[in-house]
Amino acid sequence: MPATRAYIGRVQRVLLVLGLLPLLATLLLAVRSVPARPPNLANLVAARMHESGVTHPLTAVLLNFRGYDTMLEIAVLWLAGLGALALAPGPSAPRHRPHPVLAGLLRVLAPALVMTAGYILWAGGFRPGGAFQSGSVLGAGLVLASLGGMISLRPTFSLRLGLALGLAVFVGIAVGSWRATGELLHYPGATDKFSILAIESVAALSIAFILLTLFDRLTAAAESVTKPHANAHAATPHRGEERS
Amino acid sequence: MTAMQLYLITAVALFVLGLYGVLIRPHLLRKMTALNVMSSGLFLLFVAVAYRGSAEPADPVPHAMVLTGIVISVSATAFGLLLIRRVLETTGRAELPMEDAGRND
Repeated sequence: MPATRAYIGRVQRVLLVLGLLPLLATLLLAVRSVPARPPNLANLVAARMHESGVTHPLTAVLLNFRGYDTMLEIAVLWLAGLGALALAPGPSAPRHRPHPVLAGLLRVLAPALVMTAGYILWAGGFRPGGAFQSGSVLGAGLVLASLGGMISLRPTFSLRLGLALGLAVFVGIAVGSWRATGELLHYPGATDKFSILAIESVAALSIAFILLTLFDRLTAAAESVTKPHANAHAATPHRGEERS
Repeated sequence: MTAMQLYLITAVALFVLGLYGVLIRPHLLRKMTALNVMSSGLFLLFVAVAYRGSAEPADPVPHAMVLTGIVISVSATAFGLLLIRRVLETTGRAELPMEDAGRND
């Protein structure tokens, strides 16, 4: 056989397609077996929503009935942020003078984004919204500011604390509710509205910072592979970020 | 064929196409994009199952699972991109090496 330079040779490619066809057939058979009217859990959720502390079924499912999934989801997001700090320790782009158009835009957008994020967080109790949506709006504002040179990230302790706080509060409330009622994430008595609000607000902030960290680390300057991690001795170890 | 069945078939097609793309492409960024196509297929599957028409309220449980899945897909994509950056910095290329028929690695 001639020595062909290819990642996957022609024969292997055909074999791959032939191997994927049974998978495709199986999956198609599986989706054909989905009943035309699948059982709808909306009625079950609506029946118990008065116990959940919120009035929107999606928020009730996310933060109360299946709160465990949401807790682990925040853990995954936090791990990605932690991995970002570990994998890309190079210096972030220093603060620079933003382009005047961007600066003007940010002057208008930043307060609007913060207010929108706050509203979405609060509205999650009775409309689509909640921690992740508001966290991503806030994160978008932070990313814009980072693009404009107004924020330069330094991986200090306060940044790491901010990243972990959302998960920490969630786990703390989970363990607290476990101690109080004997079941994990079973909010005791009438505290569900308050617990959900506490979890969501801190989580939204953490999510915003995690998204900023992910973006910033992806665009940070490359560090030479042999140089040791240089950011352990940042000039001001008390502040995670600078703001203009 | 109902609308839901059409969406489900499309979701399965996206999933398998994405899987093919992940396996076939040597460039790491394309693998990442193919992985995202797979995720999109899965989200479409869940949303198609959750939607019940305009008369009935949507099923909130698969709906919530999609939201969770989207966040996890974002985390995984970001982490994967960071790994690709490291590979690029360490080896100088973001592609898996081509194979010669005669090489032993």
